[in-house]
Amino acid sequence: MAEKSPIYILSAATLGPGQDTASADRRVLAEDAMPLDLQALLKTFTEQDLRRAGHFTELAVVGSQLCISRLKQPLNQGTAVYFSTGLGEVQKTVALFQQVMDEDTGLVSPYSFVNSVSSTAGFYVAKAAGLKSRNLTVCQEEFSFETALKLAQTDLENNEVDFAMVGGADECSHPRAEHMHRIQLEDSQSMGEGSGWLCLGKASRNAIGEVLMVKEITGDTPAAWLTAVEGILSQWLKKGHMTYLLPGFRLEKTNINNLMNRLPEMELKNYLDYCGCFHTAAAFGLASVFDETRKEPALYFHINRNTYGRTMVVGVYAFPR
Amino acid sequence: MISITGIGAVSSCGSGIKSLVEHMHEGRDSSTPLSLFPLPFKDEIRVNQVKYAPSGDEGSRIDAMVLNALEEAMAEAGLNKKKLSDSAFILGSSGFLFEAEEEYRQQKEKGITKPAPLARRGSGHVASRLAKQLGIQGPVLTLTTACTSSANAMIAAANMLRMGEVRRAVIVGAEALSAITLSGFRSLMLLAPNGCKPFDAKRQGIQLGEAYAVLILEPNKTAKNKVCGWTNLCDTNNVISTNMDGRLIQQTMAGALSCANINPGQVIAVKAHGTGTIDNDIAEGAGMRLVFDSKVPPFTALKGYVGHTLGACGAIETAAFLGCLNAGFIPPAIGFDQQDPSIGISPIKSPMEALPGYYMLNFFGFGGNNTSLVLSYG
Repeated sequence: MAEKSPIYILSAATLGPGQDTASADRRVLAEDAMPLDLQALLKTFTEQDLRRAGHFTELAVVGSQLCISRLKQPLNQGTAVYFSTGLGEVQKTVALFQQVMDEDTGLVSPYSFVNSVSSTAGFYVAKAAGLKSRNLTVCQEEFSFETALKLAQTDLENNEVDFAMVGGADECSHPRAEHMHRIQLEDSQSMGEGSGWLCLGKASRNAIGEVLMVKEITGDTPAAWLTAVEGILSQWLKKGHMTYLLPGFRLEKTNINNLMNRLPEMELKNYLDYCGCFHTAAAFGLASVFDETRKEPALYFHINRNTYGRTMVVGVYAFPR
Repeated sequence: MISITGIGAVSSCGSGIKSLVEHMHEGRDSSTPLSLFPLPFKDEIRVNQVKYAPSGDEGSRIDAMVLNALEEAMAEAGLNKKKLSDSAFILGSSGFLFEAEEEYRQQKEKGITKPAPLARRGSGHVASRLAKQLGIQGPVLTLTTACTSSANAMIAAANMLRMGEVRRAVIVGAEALSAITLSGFRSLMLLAPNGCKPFDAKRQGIQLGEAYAVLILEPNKTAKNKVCGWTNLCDTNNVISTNMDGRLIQQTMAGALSCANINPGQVIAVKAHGTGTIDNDIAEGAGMRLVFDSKVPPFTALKGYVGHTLGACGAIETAAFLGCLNAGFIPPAIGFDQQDPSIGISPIKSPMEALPGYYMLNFFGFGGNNTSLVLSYG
């Protein structure tokens, strides 16, 4: 069995629904996000012609390019890409439905079809970055980003890869009622979109943080769940650092309140206020904490649940800078 | 060492590895005209569709087929449902448009004039649903890297097992036919009018297929089949076709050989990706010639039997190939007749004896996603 080594975060970046790429630009979402035109922003990062790519691919490419631009060292050409998405390309696939299921012409836009293919966004991320290395796309609903991060962690610890770019992106679509079916939001939740990326490596040089863990926990009853989460978090809380809870969009209010009552030294950070709800919002939430400057190290724990009752916890350590 | 302790399959050749192996031994074509759903164009489309729906407790056609293949794999591995609970469950598919299309048609039949497209959730929901039904507590994930999806699922599983993260992994390749996918490939002019003819001079494209396959991977077990090496790389030359010079394919295959710690001369035979498209077969042929120099080992292609099953092809073609090796032969490539001078090499046309040793399996997909596996038999 290969020996485990720490996984360091070398850079991080987010792209929010208002084209915000830094914490100073973020605004609380007052209503459902609208997919904004990213062409101008895209051109600031890549000369690649992505006119025929969809908004979803643009989200993925801009987020990943921004993350690369924040690296304090050249991007290693062996960097593996772990791209995650819950829904994948929605807008182009909806267009395909109309072309194929509603019309009798049989005429399908080849570009819509190619853009709807599950590996297309990951391809453009790699192409824009000049990477020909391992390239995986992970779809696991609310846990897509967590699962991709876990895969990257395993591959890094296993010495399968030396560097990894792990990201998540999802687009929103209108009308809301249709999107609600796909993502199953509550009426009170804002539909969001965005992209979040982390560049990871095994050397601490130039690191801005560390991935502490990606864990799945079980606990059938609320009490057992709380005990299980507390068991994971308390060992880190003992270190006395500032600690924040980043609640995912399926984590129930009761669970959040119970957790905050049980672990009062933790502070709540509602990143969903800025990006809205989407399957890979965890990528946005976790990457966004590295936008902030801090004099003291801080711990961030992202916790989310899925509709099957599973829970995933991701812990990251943000270094002072 | 990672062992493959159980395999199971449902395909156009029938239910079970035995029926698949029989088709391949006899070189039988299992394609039929598409009958599962209407298409928005008049051409007759031949596909490799599963001809019966196995019974399932509830849920979709996909669930029933996967559970059928899983039952076969579990029986071979000597497992029961209880023993699966701490396994990883890793599914590879290009997506599940079939279900979303079914729901769309049903809504239209009910008189809803503007049904919601894509009413189903993303591609991950099938794995979540099946894992819940099976009581699996281990990691659940879905890889969607087009035609390499379930081959990449095997790589992910092998790494988890090497790190001791799980006791075993259940790999599922699942691909149902979809009107959108068929229409999309038609719009790209990649559908073959006369069947899949991998590496043949008169090849005209792909024939899509439906398949479900399960492989159970466990560390350090006695088994006839082992996973010895792997590599996944991304060719960013073109989103729908790999670089014709075959260099990235060469690097992918060389990476898998290096991972397995063997040299090219130790490969007994290759299961090529062999889509039957003009460009891809040229690129794959070039890649093989670069890796093996002038000594390309016997190679075959299996899409003539089961069709191009996209995200499932990693699992179904691995299951089919291993089934044949375990039955003592390397299957020939049906559909191949005449060598293409621009490829310069030909797949085998009749069964060959399977010798113990190393075999390479190639899978190359849209999005430049290239994967090679090295497996051992015997």
